[in-house]
Amino acid sequence: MKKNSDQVSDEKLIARFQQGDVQAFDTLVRRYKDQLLNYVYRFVGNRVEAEDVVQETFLRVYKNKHYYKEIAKFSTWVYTIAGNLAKTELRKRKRRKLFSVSNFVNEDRDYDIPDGERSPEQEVDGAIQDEIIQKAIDKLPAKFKEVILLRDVQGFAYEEIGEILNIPLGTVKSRVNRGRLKLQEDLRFLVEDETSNESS
Amino acid sequence: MNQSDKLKESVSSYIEGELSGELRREFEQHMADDAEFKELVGRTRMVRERLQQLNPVSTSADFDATLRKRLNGYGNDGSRTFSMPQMNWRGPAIAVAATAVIASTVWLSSPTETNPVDAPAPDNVRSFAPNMSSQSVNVPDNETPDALVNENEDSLRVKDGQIKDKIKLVKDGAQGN
Repeated sequence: MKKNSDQVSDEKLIARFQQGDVQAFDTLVRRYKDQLLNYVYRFVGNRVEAEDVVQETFLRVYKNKHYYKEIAKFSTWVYTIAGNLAKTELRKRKRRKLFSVSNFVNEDRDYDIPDGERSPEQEVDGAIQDEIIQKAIDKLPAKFKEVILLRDVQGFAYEEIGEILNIPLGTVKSRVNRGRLKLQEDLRFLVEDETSNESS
Repeated sequence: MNQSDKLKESVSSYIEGELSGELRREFEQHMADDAEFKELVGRTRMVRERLQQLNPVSTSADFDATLRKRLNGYGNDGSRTFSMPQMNWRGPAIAVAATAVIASTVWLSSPTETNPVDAPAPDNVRSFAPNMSSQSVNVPDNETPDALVNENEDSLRVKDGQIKDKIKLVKDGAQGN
């Protein structure tokens, strides 16, 4: 049963949900909850806030299911909702920062269980490097951050990124390039050794 | 704009294998000529790989249960019953409450001119709230307190005389019977 429903396309699932099949909604939640969390978490840089945003995203899908039209992919629609909510969350945080100095230190961050192929030392190194990269991502302006995350972390095609963000293809490519160039400056100390080893 | 700046716009296209033809040859020639540019391209490629290898995060164990609870919180009117955002309101709330308690204590314990209980009512309020005591001392301009006292004594004298007359009538009637 589960296998069969997983084979169904997202668009068919949302169509079923629009007709009242709540199981179809559950399947969509199962499919998207982790990938949306990865996107939103990298966007807002805080695990708890990210999970809240993802929950809110599914609530919007649930409540506004009839607004979805099959002219767009379901993934485009759901990522658009999640991205907008993530941006709103960042704006709220900026306002909160005016009142609180003890803002969002990422103490609540956790990582998946090691897959066994890496040693504990490598895992620690990886976690530290992830944290460094995340801090560099946090520093990016939102318009660069969102395209970088959709392209390099989520693996979307440029065309779909354009649809999710409702911006022209050329703008997507330009922003991805500028975002990467900015990151290579900020992460120079982290990747310099590897590039020098690679070129020698 | 020098050649490096111009070709920087194509770094992503190059590392994703989207450059072709003359532009690709020009790009690779410039990398061969400019070591700094070549390093920049290498770092950008490395950053992209690092982003692709970031440790994935998973939703917490209670994600589904929390979502279910929130979905149940949706009323028919679309009202939402979400959890509060991640902001610590406890500190400011306690501070506000403490300030209110202190202020009200000070205010109640120290009568001041601004205390509405003791403060005289404004004229317009007073005019709509007749005061019995003000009626009792409402003295005509031509009368003094002494005149009032004399008047009262006179009236007492009159009343005293009337009582004596009535007693005399009763005594006379009794003797006549």
